[in-house]
Amino acid sequence: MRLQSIELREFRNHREARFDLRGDSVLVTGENGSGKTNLIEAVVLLSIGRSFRGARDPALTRRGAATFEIRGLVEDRLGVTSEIVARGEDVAVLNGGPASRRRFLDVALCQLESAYVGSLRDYTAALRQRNRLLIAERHGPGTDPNEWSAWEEILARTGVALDRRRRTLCAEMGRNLRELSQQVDPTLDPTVEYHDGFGDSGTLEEAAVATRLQLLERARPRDRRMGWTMNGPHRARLHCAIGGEELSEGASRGYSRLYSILLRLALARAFEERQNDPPVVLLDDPESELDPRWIGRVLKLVPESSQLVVTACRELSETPSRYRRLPIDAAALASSAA
Amino acid sequence: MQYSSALLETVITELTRLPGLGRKSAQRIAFHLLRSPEGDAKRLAQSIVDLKAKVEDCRICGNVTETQPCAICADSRRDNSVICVVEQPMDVLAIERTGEFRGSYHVLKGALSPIDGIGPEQLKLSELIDRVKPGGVVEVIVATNPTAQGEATALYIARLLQNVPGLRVTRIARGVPMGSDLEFSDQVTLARALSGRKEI
Ligand SMILES: [Zn+2]
Repeated sequence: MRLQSIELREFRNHREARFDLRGDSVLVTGENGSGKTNLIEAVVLLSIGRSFRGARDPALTRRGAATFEIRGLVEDRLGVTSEIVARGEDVAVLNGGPASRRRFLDVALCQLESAYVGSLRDYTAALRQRNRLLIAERHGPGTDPNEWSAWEEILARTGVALDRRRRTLCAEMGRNLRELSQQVDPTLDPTVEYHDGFGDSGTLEEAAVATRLQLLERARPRDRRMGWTMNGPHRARLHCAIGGEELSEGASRGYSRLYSILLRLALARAFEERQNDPPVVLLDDPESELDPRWIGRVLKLVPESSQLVVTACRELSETPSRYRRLPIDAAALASSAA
Repeated sequence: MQYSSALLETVITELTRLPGLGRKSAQRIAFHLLRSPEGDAKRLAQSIVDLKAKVEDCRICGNVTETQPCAICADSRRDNSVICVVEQPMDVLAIERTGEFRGSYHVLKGALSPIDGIGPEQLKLSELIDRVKPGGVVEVIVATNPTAQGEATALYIARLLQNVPGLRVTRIARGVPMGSDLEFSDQVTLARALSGRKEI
């Protein structure tokens, strides 16, 4: 897939702007607040229909305007770009607890495998229903055992599907992560591991719907006391480590940032391997926290067939000559709005 | 803002209680009725009165009907040994449109959803057992919606009927788009889902 251009109307600080993004690699430069990050956000928004900042629509609209509009011109179908984003907040994503890490996996898998969307929706729905039964039974009469099993069977079946697909993707990313990190710093040893939400005793045999059914049935009294379902893919953890040390536990910000970018590039590779359509890679301000000696090496890791859009305050220390420069400044925005 | 006619206000208030009608649409309809020929308004009013007076649930299958039993249950050419279980009367219509099904129906009037306060007691399930128990029914096809609620309902029915001798419980194939309603599926897709049904 190739982005040709993007047009923003009343989006964030852009009143009306059009950006020509043709070319294999584009370097968007501008001072902080110039709107270069908003440009990246607009591209992501186009592909997933939701801001990765988690912002609600009113915040996306320029102050004083009624609504915003983003139009992208792409060479091929849209829909595979969104996940391949790295930005300052990524550190927060990795440190933001298990929920945001699961969301990272879910968003990627929803784009990679259409069946995943259905499994995730049914799992989430059944989970809410079982939780309601748990609370209802505290006060009211006992629930029909068949009713319990009906919801638990959906949880078990879709749970197996979710865990299997998540684990497969993590294995692919883990492999790519090792290979990529070799080219940046052979001593890094980054790993990504998926642990399903059935306790620390290890991982469940994936095919075992029956095992999960038993576990859920046995857990009813405990879950009833707690008022919610305590085991399952909604409790799974994505373990991100460098040299065996969990990233949430005191890794330096620079290392977290590097890991985060490498993880997304590893995901970009997984996309490239699975689909014939290579993803667009968006790197938002990698210089902000990344050690300068890594930047040149990291940029070389972008899949060759991918289009790359990278933002920076000024020229990168080693900007490859093939990059097309796209400076953004307030003056240019004002003139494009006229 | 209120209109100076209390009768007009009453009609608007009643209309806003209908599903999917906001005050704006209700006002438009009320004024339309006010300006339309008297005969039109009377026919509409009478048809609503007749609807409430004459249309009821079939005592066998639960489908809407003016006769007891309904035309489908009364049709001797239809196969009463096969029962297709659906959530709503609209689903009966959808399956009838395919022209592929010659058995009888059972309308549950909903699907399991504890969040909405719907458990097995709120569905027409004891009526289904009453139909199956005497024997003679060889297959129950569960054609609830392909949502988590519809799926849970199907699994519940399979467990409920698992010990009835000589009966198999089947589920329509997932040809129907995930998470959608049966009534919105096209005829070809629904016919394929019916013929591709599997034992639960
Ligand atoms: Zn009937």
